[in-house]
Amino acid sequence: MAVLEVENVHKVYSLGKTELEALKGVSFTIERGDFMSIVGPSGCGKTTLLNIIGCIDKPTSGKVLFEGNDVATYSDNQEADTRLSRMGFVFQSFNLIPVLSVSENVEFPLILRGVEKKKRRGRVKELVDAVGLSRYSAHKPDELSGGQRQRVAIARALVNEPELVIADEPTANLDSETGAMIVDLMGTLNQEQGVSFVFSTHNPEIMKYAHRIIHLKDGLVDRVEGDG
Amino acid sequence: MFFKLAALNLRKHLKRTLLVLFAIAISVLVMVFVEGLMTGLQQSFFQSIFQDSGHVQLHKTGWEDRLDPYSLDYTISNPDADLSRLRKDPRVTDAEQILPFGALVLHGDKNMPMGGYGIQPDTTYFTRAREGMLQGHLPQSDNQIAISKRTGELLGVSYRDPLVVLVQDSTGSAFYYEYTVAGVFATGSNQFDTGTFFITHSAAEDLLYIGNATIEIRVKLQDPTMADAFQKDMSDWAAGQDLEIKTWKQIHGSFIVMFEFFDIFMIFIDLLVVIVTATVITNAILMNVFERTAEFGTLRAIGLKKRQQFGMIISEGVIQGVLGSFIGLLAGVGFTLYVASVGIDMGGVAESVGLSSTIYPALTVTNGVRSFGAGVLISIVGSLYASMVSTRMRIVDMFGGEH
Repeated sequence: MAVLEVENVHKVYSLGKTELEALKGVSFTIERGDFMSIVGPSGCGKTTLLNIIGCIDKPTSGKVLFEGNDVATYSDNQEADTRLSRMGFVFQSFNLIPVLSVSENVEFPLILRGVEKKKRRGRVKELVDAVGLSRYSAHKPDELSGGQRQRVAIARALVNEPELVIADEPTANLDSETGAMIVDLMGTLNQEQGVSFVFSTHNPEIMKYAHRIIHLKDGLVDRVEGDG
Repeated sequence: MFFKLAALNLRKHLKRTLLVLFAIAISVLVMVFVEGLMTGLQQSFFQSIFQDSGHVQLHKTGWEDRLDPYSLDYTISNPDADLSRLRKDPRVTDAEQILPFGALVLHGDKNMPMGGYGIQPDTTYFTRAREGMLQGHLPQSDNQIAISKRTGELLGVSYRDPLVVLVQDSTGSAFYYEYTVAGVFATGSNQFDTGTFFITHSAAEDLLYIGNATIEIRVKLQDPTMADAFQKDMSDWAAGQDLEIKTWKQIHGSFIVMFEFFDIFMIFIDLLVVIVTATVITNAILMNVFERTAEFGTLRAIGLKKRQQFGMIISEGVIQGVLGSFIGLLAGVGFTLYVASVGIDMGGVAESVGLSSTIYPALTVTNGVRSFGAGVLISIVGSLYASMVSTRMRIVDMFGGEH
């Protein structure tokens, strides 16, 4: 069953008197357990597409169906609940909360969901162990390397056991070796936990890890590679 | 966690937090001081009125329209009966006779025209002189006189020195008497100090040759608000005695109107302080929130609801508001107490409106609570505004509008 269906999505930005059409009718499906990459040159609409998939932005036209439900009909709270409980996010700049420790950063989405303390602590430990940061659980983000921070972000994205993790250029701020490790970790978690991953990149070395690759060009799907 | 996050954020961005706290603290300090100043002015004004004029005054009919301020043509003869009648009224707490007169005070080759007061040895009036006594006391016997330190300096007279008082008595003849300086006072009012001396009422009666008489009867009531009703009730009796009765509002009418205007002016100043405070605090909180727009965007992206974001910003506002206001309250109380201990010399301006030339700000619990509350409230309102603006932003815009 498809986790997410994108149907003929358009996105137009108004920039003063001019209009910029970032997406010009994009359609594809993300299946359960997918490990998909959206690739393309800078400005091709990757971030816009991921924002729309993640209920962070709305399409100008077209539909996004998450588990069969049209996200356009969601209220603000439903969108927030979906992002909190059903989706996970990994950002290019890690976007961790600087004043919280590794454990607290991972724990934060569980608090937002109202999970009881004991369960929270168990789940956080499990995830921090899974991303190999047990030794650093009390450290603050600014005491970690870029790769370590992105691993914290991945743990945070997975903590609520989402159906889909959306990662926008998760390796862009990392060196190639660390970037490869991060995508490898995402792949492992995809295999072990059955979570669907969709990530954007323009790095050919990174995109090869994906099972399916959607090439975007000028706001359109140029071609699809892989077993989808 | 939200409160902890707010506290951690405030600690993390210490410089910004200190700036906001400073803005709140200074604002509360100013509010405490302005409130204290207003209260001090009010207390000084009403103390002057009630302590030194009484709530009601009685004079001989026609005294109000006299040309000579120290005229002896309007004396109340045999005032004991009137005093006794007044003291019988349960509303009256004190009734006292005062005998003001004009005189020339001489020592050696120096002299000063002054206003003398014949007073009861145990007078409850002239508080400033009684409380400002530097040496000795107000006159207790008929050969004693109390003068100010300044008068003593001008005439070259010291405590226990002799001093001559020359008057034109009720027969129109010049008459003098020598007294011993039994008290030296300083009130802080130059006008009062260089224009006033005290002898006993009986000494003044003898000096002025008016027999058993007085010029003025001052009455204190249980409550100054009773003055109008008291005047109404006693008007027939007073008319029968050929006396005029006036309330403190009538005696100080022009001062009261002036003070009411001053009160309104101070309310405007208070309002101005609140507006400036609100602007400074709101601006500081807005900066604090907007610098973390991307952080709030991240939190919203991972599932933080708008109302939760609202709560986080308000939590920070409450912490800053309470802490800043508390610091401001402490500083404001300290500063106001210091100023209250040394006073603010307002010179002749204050005296011209019936106040002492030195104003002492006064602190009350209500003022402190009000200023503290205003600081906290303004911080919360500022945070509310920042929250509203911040939560209205779209998540994509909070990330800086990457496409």
